[in-house]
Amino acid sequence: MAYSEKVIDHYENPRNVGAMDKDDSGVGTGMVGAPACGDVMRLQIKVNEQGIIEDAKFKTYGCGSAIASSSLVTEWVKGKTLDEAMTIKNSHIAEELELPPVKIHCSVLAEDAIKAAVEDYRSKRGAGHSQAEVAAALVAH
Amino acid sequence: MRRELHDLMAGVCIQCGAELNAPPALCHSCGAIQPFRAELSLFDVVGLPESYDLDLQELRSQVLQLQKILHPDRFAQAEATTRRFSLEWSTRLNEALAVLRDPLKRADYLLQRQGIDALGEQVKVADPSLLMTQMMYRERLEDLLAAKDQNGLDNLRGEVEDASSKAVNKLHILLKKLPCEQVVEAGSVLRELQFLDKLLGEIDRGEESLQNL
Repeated sequence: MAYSEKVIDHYENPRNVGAMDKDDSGVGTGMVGAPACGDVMRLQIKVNEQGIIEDAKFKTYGCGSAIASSSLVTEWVKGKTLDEAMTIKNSHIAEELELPPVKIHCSVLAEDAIKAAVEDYRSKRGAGHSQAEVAAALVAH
Repeated sequence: MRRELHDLMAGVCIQCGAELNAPPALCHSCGAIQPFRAELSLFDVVGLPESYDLDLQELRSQVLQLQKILHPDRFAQAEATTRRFSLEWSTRLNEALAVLRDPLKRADYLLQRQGIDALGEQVKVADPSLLMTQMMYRERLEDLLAAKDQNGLDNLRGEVEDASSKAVNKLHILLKKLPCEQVVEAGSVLRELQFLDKLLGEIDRGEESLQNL
């Protein structure tokens, strides 16, 4: 199976590989795994007081498409609000990376990982949104 | 030890009409080779009772014996239908052996017989402790390969193999009685075993790449 140039680029030069302190209250961690291929993915976001994702890191053990999908998501979420990050769909990832149908599940994994990271952050901050987020949402409307 | 197949399953010989015994590849009365039927389970194919607790030696000798009798070479001069039946049985026997001798595939097969696809492509895992452990194993493997630490790799392999045996032991308990009643738990142990299996593959590949340096 041939990988697209974009997948190869992310695979060879993955963006934002690394780890953040998962106990930091400003960090949200999402971990997901796909038993069928044995892939494990960890995606972390650092959220500032304004509710904006300042930084993102990932670590993925899996195939090129899984690495590229998570690498791409870390690029996309930087500068976004949590709500905006939650709108990322696997279809956007698959389209951007030109993933073949057999690799669509890798993009699903990356979507699940970012959602899990946002949820982890939100649950750390108490149920619902932080005040800063509510304020940001109000300004946006 | 042999399970008598249900009458309907065993059916009758296509040539002489005698009732077939398990495994239903050959008629025990006239010796005619029988058509393969899709409804036969892998256990039916090898003529062993459906169980997670398989005697692998018995499985191998049973398959070997059947392969000898059913091998297409023995039917090279026979008519086309017979040759086709023999080829099909021979292929199915190999497939059955490949699945049944593997503790992971065997458990997966038994759960699939109950309609549970624990390892499907769409299945995702969110269990934090399982994922954390897998992540740690993977990170250790990466560090050990970077350091070319063969001893460390051996230790890691040992740990992963231990974890795999523990998972297989759990499956033995969960699948002791069939159909399995704790399918959720069996599914999650099976997924853990699958992760460990893939990890062992990664350790193999990593060691190979070290040796080829």
